[in-house]
Amino acid sequence: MSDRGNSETLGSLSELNLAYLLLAQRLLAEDRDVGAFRLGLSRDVADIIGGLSLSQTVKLASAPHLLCTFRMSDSMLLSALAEKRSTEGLTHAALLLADSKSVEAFA
Amino acid sequence: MSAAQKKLSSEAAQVMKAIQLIQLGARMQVLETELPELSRERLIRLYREVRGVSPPKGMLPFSADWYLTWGPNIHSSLFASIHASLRNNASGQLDRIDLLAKSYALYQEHFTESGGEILMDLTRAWTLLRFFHAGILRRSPCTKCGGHFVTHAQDVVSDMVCGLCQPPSRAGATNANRKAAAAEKAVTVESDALAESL
Repeated sequence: MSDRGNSETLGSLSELNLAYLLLAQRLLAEDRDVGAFRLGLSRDVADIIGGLSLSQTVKLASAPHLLCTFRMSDSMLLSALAEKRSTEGLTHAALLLADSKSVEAFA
Repeated sequence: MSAAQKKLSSEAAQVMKAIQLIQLGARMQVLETELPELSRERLIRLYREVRGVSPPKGMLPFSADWYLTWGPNIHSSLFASIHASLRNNASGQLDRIDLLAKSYALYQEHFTESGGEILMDLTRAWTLLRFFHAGILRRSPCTKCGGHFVTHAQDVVSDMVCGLCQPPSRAGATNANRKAAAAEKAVTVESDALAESL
């Protein structure tokens, strides 16, 4: 990979990280519990992200890897897509997402 | 803060909670159980103010079997999963009423956003939690998708498959759906005829 291409990729990664962290902080500030539910975060992780200062947020976002994960496992996605009526697929996916374990901080 | 002031502000908080529950569709029995500090007369007045009509009289729906029929089972299970998730990750200040109101609002939002009909009102959601508490209903995992669905507490089923993984043959075959399908078909036939004539 060329140097220029690489630095562009890293730039997009940290942009996405920053967008994610800022959105997460906004959701958590609006409503701590509903925000954590929508984001799929555990209590500890929600507290950490919600409590970051701006400089900490920017520093964390500049990491050369993605900070958020893809929440849907393969079986969830399949079941969501396989449903004949689309609302049922969405409902199935929503239920499985609500049931899935939220992102935990490793203590 | 003096005791009188404290009492006033806690009462104000209770009134706000009552308004929130009434807006979500709570019946009088729900309000009276969850907010015992507010008098029945005040609750009725609040109800009239918020809804513009007198609270409905009569008994609450009491059948636990309602939650086990196909459509309502999916709806109540989604609500129960949201409720459990919020409860597990709750910050300190989330009390029972907030938990109920927020879970129900999220459940409602799911169906308004995805264009589905809302089958379960707040009173049914509240009754569901009481059935869980009384050990009449519980959540059991589906062996196919792993999601939790509302079942009878006494049923010992080791190979439960949920109504979404394995819908019954006539699931969702309501008059409304049939009419919608027929209307869609009519439109296709019409456009086919139009295409032929051109």
